[in-house]
Amino acid sequence: MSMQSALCISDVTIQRGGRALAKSLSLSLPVGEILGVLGPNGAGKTSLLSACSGECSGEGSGERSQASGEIECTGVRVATATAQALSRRRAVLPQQSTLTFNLPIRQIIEMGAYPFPEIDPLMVRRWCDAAIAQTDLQAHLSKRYDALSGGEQQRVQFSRVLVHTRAIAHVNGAACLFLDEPTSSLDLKHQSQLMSGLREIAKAKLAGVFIILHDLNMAARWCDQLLLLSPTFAPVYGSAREVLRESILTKVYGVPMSVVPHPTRLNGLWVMSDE
Amino acid sequence: MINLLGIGRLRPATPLTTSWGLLLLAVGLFFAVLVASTQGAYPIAVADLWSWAFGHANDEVAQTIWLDIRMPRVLLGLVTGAVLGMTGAVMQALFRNPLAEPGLVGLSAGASLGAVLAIVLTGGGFLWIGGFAFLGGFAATCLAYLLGTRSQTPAGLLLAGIAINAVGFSAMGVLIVHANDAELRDLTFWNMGSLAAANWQMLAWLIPWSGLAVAILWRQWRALNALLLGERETFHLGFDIRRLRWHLILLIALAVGPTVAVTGGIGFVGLVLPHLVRLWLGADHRWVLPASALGGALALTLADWLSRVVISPAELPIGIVTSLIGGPFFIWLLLRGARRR
Amino acid sequence: MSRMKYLFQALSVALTLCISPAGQATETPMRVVSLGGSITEIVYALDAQDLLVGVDQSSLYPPQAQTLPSVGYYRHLPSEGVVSLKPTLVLASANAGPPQVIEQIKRLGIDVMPLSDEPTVNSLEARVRAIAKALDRQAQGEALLSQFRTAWDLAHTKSVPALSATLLIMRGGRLLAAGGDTTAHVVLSESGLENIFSEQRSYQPISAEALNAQAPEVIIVTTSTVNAMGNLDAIKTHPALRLTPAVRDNRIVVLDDLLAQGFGLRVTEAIHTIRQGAWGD
Repeated sequence: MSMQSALCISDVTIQRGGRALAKSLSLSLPVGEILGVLGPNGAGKTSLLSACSGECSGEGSGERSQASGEIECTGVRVATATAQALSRRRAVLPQQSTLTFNLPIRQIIEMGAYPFPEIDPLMVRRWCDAAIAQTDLQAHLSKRYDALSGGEQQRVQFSRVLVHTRAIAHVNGAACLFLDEPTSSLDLKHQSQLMSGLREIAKAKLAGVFIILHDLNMAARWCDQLLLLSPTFAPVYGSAREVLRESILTKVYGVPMSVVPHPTRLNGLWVMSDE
Repeated sequence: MINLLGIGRLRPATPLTTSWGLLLLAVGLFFAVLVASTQGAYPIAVADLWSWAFGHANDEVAQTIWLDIRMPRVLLGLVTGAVLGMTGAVMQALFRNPLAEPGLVGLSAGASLGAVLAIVLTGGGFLWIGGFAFLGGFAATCLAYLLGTRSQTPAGLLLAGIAINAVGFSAMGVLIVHANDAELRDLTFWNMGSLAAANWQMLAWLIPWSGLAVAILWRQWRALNALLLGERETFHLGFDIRRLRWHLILLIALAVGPTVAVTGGIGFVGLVLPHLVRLWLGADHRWVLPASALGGALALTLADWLSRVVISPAELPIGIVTSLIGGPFFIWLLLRGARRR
Repeated sequence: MSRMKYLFQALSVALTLCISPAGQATETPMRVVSLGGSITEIVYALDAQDLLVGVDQSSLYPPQAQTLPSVGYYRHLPSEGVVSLKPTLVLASANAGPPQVIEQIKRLGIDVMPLSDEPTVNSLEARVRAIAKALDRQAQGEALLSQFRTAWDLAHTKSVPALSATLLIMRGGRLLAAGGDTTAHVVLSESGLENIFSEQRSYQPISAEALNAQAPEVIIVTTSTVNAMGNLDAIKTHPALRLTPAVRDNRIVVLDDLLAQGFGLRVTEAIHTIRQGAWGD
């Protein structure tokens, strides 16, 4: 089953509290690419992620946000899909985890395969081991979940989402992976571990990745496409070069921004604020 | 929600531990049934059971007592304990609250109100009390459903349960003012619970019904584990959270309602057993659910045995036994959990 | 020779008849369980207490009855518990229950005799007669009844002007008054008093206003109530009772708890005590 696009949005408008953010947005995220969603707070990034992952029709959206327009995730219309159908096509890593009971870490990670009870448990176990290796969690496996630091807990959740993604890819060919600021509580080493892990998934054509980031340079480094949202200006969508322009950034963020060629990376960009 | 008791093991439970745990519970249950069925006000020896099995009827009265009075009671205790244990575990996951139990949605208030109405209006009688209690519990659950749908979160449902409990108990107070002494006593006894109403006709439908409810609830183990992650994650993993919540609540009402109607109010089993099970076997519902059912059956069988022998030939209401043992035990659990923080 | 044989046979038959006057073999001794305070009281009054193997929780008189094994509250009987006492006869108040337990006991071949348990003289007489017959003490039963009748008639010969009254007990730290459907009300009425709370059901907390509006001329309290309040003076100085004619004229009657709330053989005692306290005769 070859999927052209992991996510396909046309003419989508996000409304929150009567105000319209992100008017008439259209984009297409193919499998194998990473889309970075940027913008200041209140721009509607999380609302957009919720809309695309199907949460607006269900529970979980913080304020009541409405989305109008066509959203298709791996070929399925999000507005009409059931929770079960969606779970077999896309995986989501929210910003904060609210796990209150202590489950064993391995079990938390293996829960990523819950939408697919038909998969052989041994295969799930292998994916789980791979994810643990990828996120550097071997040393923490025997600890209690609530004894872990915020960053370590985040890595556990990320591992779960990795297993989820692999399960989807195994059954349906490719997934759409949504992440909401996954690097906020991680240290530098694990941040780049996570991002390179995403790059690998994308390269292996296992998923298209929709990731909300705060760090513009990280976005510049790892993402193939960028979407810059703003509460006051129209969204800007395109490659890094097209989106990360001084005039645009200064307008959106309200502080003077400079964009220079990256000192060490070929064809790379470096963004900094001039404050 | 606060992680009150530091639930969970110090080391993660291995599949070996959980299998052995379940086996141990099953064996314990078998012995509890053995003890409960051979010990009671009327002396019946294990040797007698053995000879009856081979068709030698030496003491007719003893045989009839064992078959018509004691065994139905033991089985009722088994079924009720299993239902209470498992639904307690489900409720705690559903509300992500270690203190949750079916009473929280107003189910017990509704059932009690039904029982009071039956006693005061019709003068008692098992069928009236049982029927009214079941209807009351069910109506309370539906009311909680309607009130709770207005809110998106479980908090709405809990508030609805609190409101229903308040209304239910004050309505009961009004009725009680007009009750005579005998009716008051009847109500007190109903509230304290008893397995004495057990008979084979009732078990003939209660066992399959409860068995079905328990089986359906057990199949929800993945959804319950996902609930532990959080509501958003539950949705992401493919469970329609609103439908799931209401399905579970209705299942719980359907499972618990008939047993409450038959036995009256038996507390603490649904509250304490799942905690013990989680401390021992971890929080994976794949094991917590069956273990809570087995543990609940074991606890209630033993409690009924105690209630029958402690002040023989009189009997203690079983709700007293479960509260006397469960209450201090629960306090100990709370203290232990607090110390660990 | 044959005449001697015939005489010997006749003699042995006569002897057998003497030994078992009812004409049946009585090798199995009777084992009786009594369910109901009044019923136990009657069994003791008939001097048949040696037949008792068990009583219920409400069998408090005479005090010896409390040494027997108790099966608990008579409206919520445990079937196994009752049967474990291996009774041959169960004397059960008509209010004993639950019904399915009574059925179970019957099905096990044990004789269950339901007895009328109303607070009326007819019920009491029927009760005594039925128990006396079952325990084969008819003569004693009739003697008891004639004794009772005499005392009853004596208590009712003197006509006295009706006085208004109330019967108070203390429960849960509060004073409650007996309503029209209680046994205490019957005792009160048979004594010639008018219960000011006859419209009320069961025992209700006293309303000071209602009490003083009705102004009872006699107040009856139970011994345990006096003990709970400390002493009789506490009752006289109680804010709700202080201004009643009963306290003013010192017409306060103290009755034993069992006498105040039961209608058994000793109800004539209760009536006598009340009349003494109310009219001083």
